[in-house]
Amino acid sequence: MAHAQNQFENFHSEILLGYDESSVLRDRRETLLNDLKNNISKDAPKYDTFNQGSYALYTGITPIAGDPDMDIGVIFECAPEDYPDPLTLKKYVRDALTRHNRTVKIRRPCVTVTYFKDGEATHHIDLAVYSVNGNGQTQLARCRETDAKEDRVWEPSEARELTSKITDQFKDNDRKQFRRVVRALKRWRDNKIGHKNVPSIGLTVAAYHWFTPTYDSVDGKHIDLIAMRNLINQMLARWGFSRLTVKLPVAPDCDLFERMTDTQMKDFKERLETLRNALNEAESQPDTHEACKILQKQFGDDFPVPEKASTTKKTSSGVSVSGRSA
Amino acid sequence: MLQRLSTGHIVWRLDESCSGSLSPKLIALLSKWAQRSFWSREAGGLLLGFVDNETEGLLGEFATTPGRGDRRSRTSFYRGLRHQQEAIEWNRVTDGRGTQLGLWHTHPELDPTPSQTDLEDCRNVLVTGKFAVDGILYLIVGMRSIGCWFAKSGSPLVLLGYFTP
Repeated sequence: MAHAQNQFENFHSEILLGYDESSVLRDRRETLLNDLKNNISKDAPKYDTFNQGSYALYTGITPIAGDPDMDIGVIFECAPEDYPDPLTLKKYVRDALTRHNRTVKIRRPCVTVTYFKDGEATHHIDLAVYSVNGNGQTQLARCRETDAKEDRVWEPSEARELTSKITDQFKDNDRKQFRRVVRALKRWRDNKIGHKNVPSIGLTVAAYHWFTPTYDSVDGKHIDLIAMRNLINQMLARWGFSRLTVKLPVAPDCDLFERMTDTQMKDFKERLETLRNALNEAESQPDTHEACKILQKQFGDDFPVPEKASTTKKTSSGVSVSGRSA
Repeated sequence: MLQRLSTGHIVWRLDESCSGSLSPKLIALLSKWAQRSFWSREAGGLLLGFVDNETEGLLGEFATTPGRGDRRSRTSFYRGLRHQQEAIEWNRVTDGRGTQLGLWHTHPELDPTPSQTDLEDCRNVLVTGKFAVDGILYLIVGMRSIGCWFAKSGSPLVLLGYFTP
């Protein structure tokens, strides 16, 4: 039965967006970090930076719509008590990065730098601002300029620990399969639900909890189709009365889908069931060409459908004699 | 062992190494020949299709149909030499990929079963013929359902199941 593993791997190559693949984002990142270093206020404490989010996890994909993004963490060597108003540090970052060819905006979870071409946003980089408390736990600056003082807060947020936990969950080729499956699931989400309604980190952490590497017991090759189907079954099996809870495995230990409405949850579940059924049908289909057509309906046009000429064997016509049936 | 997919394909599986599918177009073509009227005569021919590279599945897509050189009655069908010629042509037009996968014919019964004559024909074709895989697909189109069997040389036919077109 069809596993379409070659097509899953080609699909992955088509959609992946990584630090190594995007020279534009890589260059922008270097420029931003240089600007930050050269222009940050002398009053600002020392800081360190690190990649976070899908770039750090190697689960980034090229977006269908909208501009690609990148997440950077900026950890200041200070305690939350040193800056009771976290906006001060975010302003240091914003002011150091403001230039004519980009907009820099303080949003509640981060400082967003957006690049434009011909009036259209081409990509953006989010910088999350942290301090470190006495226990060594990173605290995220959550505030924007329009927030009242009491709403400008430091919140526990262990982004680096999260990256380590997820990265270390699987090794070698199992880790590669984990990343392929997460990327495919994210592209499916973009295609069927929309980028904003189901957060990427929720899908990634669901896979962290419930993904199992899957390969052929005979030849040892990974089978992404079955791995994804099994992951979805695990997610569906854990659906409570009306919701799926996906707990962040680090502080603040929140449910990553908590902002989804019940209607969004219902839609998400129904679409996951449809995806699971499609994966089952593709596996049942011995015709690789037809199986890929089923998969393309779920994952979009970047999932390749090979021509029948490339999925069937060269052979003879066969020979049969005349005869009588009754 | 038979499953209908949402795409209209019927897929079958005998074991790990032996599976196949019937396309909706093939099913529609065969069901047109069902003996639904008391005057309809038996029909038959060869099942044509491909062998999948990855799964080794037998992909039924087309069939030869009654015509010149065949003899038809209410309860029998003689398959002439023209069917083999059409199989060769099918292989040519599909760039050397199309091949014959088995036999089909009709029965004037609701849910068909192979007759002794059918079993003899199937055995003879397996012994004297040459196919892309070890065995052939054997379909009988009844008035209500289509029966599917898999036949290997020297072994009894294995029923894969019945489905309604």
